[in-house]
Amino acid sequence: MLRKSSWLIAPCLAYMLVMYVTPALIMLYSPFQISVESGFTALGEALVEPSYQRVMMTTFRTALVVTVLAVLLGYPTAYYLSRLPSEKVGKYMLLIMFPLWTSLLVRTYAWIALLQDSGVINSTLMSANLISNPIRLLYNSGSVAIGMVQILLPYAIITMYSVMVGIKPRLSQTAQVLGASPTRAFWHIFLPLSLPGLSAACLLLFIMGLGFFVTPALLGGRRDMMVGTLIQQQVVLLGDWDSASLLSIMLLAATIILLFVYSRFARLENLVPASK
Amino acid sequence: MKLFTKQVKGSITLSALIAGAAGALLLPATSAAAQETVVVADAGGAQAEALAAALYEPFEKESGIKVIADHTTAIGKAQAMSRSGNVVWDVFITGDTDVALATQNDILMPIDWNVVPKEGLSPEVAQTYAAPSSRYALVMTYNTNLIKDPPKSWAEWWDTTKYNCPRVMRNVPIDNLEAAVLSSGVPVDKVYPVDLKLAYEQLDKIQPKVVTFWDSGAQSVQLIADGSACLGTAWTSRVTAAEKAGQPVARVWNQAIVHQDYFTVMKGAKNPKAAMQLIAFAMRPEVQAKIASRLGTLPANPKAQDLIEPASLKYQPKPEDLSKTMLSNIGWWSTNMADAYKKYSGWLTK
Repeated sequence: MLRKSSWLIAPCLAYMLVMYVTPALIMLYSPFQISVESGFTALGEALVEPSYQRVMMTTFRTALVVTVLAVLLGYPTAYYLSRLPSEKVGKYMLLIMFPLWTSLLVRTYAWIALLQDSGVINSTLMSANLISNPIRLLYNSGSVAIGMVQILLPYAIITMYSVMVGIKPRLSQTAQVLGASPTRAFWHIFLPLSLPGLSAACLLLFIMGLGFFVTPALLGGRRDMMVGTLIQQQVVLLGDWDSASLLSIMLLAATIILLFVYSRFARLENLVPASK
Repeated sequence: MKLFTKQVKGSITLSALIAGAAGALLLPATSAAAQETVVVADAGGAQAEALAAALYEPFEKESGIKVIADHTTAIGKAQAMSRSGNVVWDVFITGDTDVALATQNDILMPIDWNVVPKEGLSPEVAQTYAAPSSRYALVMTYNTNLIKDPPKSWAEWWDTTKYNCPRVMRNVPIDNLEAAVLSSGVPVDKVYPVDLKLAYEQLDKIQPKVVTFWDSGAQSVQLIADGSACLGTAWTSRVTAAEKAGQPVARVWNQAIVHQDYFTVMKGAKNPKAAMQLIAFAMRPEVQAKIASRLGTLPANPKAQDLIEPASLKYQPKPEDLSKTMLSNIGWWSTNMADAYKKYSGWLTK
């Protein structure tokens, strides 16, 4: 029955093939156009280029930091929601989804308005005489993390919630009936069962974090340049498609390696909320 | 990077055109005879507004040719179009460095100087592949609330004892390397070839004071206006827009680094005739004067200078200001661009 209707996905597949796979391949092929050897030589040079290495390191470090923060903030929220009766969850979910309906750019500029020297936070603190000079809140890795966590948090909550909601309350209750304290029941029953959701959220956020562009460009300082900004410079300002492509290959390879490592420990399907 | 693109009055955007085309397909009965069009790529922001009012609208009225503006001028996009063989832009309005790159890449069509009047233009700017738009500059900026005695040179801009406050600079090497060399006391006529060792020594000195490196023109004046920095750098058109909006931002003309904007036509453009007509229209002194009046730039045609609106003269450099500026050397940049960018982003992330 399922087999017979599999043609239903054909239009979507065709669309993705034409609109995504083909252009991506053309882009990635760019450095190898002249010859395969020269392409690999260029890739080798790009890998050892100190400035590229630093930007890659910043990119991975930032993605890691925001992933950890968003998951730490999201886990208790997702836990709370998953223990609520399902008819009450809707309005909370609406609140969680709400930021996703606002443009990422608007939200990033809102952070500038809040965090800048003459911004809401500094002027409030100064008028309350708590500080005499504004605190530098903007243009550092901290402001980048704040902005990115805010954007990624809904994804963290929703991914973890979808796994947690499938964990029967009865299991923890049984543990408690058998003498476990609520804390013990959580650590031994609930947490292990929620791990697929936790790891899926980590991977999803990390990969999304790697590709951030506007937020670090606007909220970060000079050391916070992420690979997205570098790729944009190569294309828009220099018209250097080959370097942009090499950086994209490096980013893509890192993402594929991560997915591979993840698949050794957990099922990739966990990344998709619906498949629980 | 253009973060915000604004729909400009009187010109319709590409997406509107696509929507219109879709509508026309659905309602064939309402479609009129094919109207001649010309697609123009401009830089968006203040420039796009000035061009819409001073060039696109009057040109449409006079010629009956519809102007479609795309506010994402970028050499990368021009190259991509050229590679794909589907050249959407006809006129590509861009800065001198992009013109040098585009000429090297052979993606431009020669200007038809039989259609475009050469009269009054100096030979350096009336090029084979480019007709001059206006001249702008990268200037020192300052917050007028925080700084009462603005710096008179890059050396003073660099002086952290005299101005012990945060700075902002652009995140690419163009103009920053020149400013760095000038800050060490090198005279304006000895800047090129840029002494890279000296430039980076100077950049190292100022780096701890730089709060951030701006990426878009909007940011450059915003950071000064909101007091995140007291001294900065910005393009003159952005400073003019900020001044007109009453923001506490002002410029210093001394040692400004002057650039030339150009009109070019893409090789493979679908409406080359209309493109040349538009550029010919743009060479008229009254059109150039209107654009320059709005942006505080300098028109390429000297005749246009006499037609500048009196209220706009204060945004323009006076002859004595101009004598203190320097011209960006595009020849040096076009051969050193890729290396300079790599080295600069290496320095930036250090």
